[in-house]
Amino acid sequence: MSIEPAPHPVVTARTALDRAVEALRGGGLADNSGLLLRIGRLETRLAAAEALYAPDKALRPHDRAAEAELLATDILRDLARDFGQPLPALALAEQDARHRSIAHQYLTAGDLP
Amino acid sequence: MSNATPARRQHVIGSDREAIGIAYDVAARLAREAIARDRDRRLPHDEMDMLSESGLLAISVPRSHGGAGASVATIAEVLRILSVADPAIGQLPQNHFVFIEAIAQDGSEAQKDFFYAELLAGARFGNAQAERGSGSALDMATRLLPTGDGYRLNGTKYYCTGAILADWIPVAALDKDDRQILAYVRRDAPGVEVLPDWNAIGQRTTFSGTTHLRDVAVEQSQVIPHWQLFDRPTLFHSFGVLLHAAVDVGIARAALEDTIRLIRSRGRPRLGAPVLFAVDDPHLLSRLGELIVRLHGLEALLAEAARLHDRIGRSPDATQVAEAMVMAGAAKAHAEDVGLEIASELFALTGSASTDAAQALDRHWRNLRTHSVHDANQWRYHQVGAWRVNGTAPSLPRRRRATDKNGTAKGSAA
Repeated sequence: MSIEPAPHPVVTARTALDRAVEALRGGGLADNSGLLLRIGRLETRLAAAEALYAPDKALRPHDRAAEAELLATDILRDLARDFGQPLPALALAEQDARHRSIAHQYLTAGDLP
Repeated sequence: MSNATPARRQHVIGSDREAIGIAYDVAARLAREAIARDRDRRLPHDEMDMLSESGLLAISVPRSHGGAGASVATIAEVLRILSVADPAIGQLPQNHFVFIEAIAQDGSEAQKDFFYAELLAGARFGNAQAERGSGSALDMATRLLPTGDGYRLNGTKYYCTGAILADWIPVAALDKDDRQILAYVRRDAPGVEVLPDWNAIGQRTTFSGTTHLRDVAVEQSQVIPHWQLFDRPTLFHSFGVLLHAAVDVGIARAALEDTIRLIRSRGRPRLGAPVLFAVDDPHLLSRLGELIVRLHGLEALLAEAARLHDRIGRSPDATQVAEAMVMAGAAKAHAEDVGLEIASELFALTGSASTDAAQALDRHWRNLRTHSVHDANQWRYHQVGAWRVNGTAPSLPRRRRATDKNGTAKGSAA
């Protein structure tokens, strides 16, 4: 029996945001301007993460799935804080280490691709 | 209608791929004096001629008329690339491409033949849309009214980006029936006066100031029935928002590239960091990594929004119009957030030396702050949220007759 791989955090974040939206509708808060603004920001950030996760390879050849994971982790953290969704799997310390690694890579490499 | 375009030796670009390559070449040349242009508020006459001669300003002319018929993704990418080098030069063609699209949408075949030929000869479109001092930003007092042998155009516009260096200025006005038209008037036509009175803190060399229109003679062949756009589903409006976003995304990248360049060239760490070299500062690295990832996400979002426009094409339904507007608006709002964050953190990550005025590193923040307040970031996000939660489509910006503070229409149609 094979073990299903864990979904990418971008996929997890999409599921969590869907749940948050459903909860908002169910709670009669779908017209609340503050919540619509908050959902709009989260949806925008998630759309950016999704575009990084599944880019058009013909136009953007760089594999940025690992970077998309870092964006999704922040989104999941905000969804947990504001909408009671599950916390992200990636711990803060690990996320911090990956950010440092990416920065180090760019500082020691050539131009910013 | 007579030609307005001076004889420029303009290259005709044949493909999207060629356009991107030329955009990088032009951007490299624009970057050389970008700081001096900004500092001295220099009118970018030579730079705009270079842009015209490169052929980049005609890439959206359809293949049927001898152009490249470039995709929306390519047009947005060209503006992004130019804006990394100099976002004022990058912004100048934003309206230009929008008003090419206005012709494509509602121009007659004769108007398309004429203006596409002008564009292939190097013509530049400016703009004269917005007006000041009314009850709403969408209010308009400028009128195009019939005379015995044509029309006369009267009004005063502001935020006329590109007008001062244009060959043609598309002017938004109301006709005798209060319908919104676009009158494409020659920059040198009698009665047209463009003032160099733009004094903003950023995007200084866009010269987005005043245009006076005093009894300007207009022929029927110069008038586009723009009101028709508002009676059918179209991506015209989201296309304009998308190109604005491309300018801001370019600024964000320029700020991050300068940040990385400075950190690399800087030997000593920031005061308080217990390391020998700046590049070993863990807090600097962590924050920089965060900004790199956010910029990449932003760039991917812009590209995805542009490709969505291409996938939808020229015959959208109402749902597709809403999707395109939401995505373009999201890219624009996100560009403001991410770009301002980078443009500010540039100084925090690189220390006091970066505040030396000679380096003009404040220009990234000034440029982005100035350009991004074109419309309210919070309402762009609100539109995304309302679409996501309730399926509420964004409203489209229809201009109307000027109103007073109570919202009552001023003046009367002739």
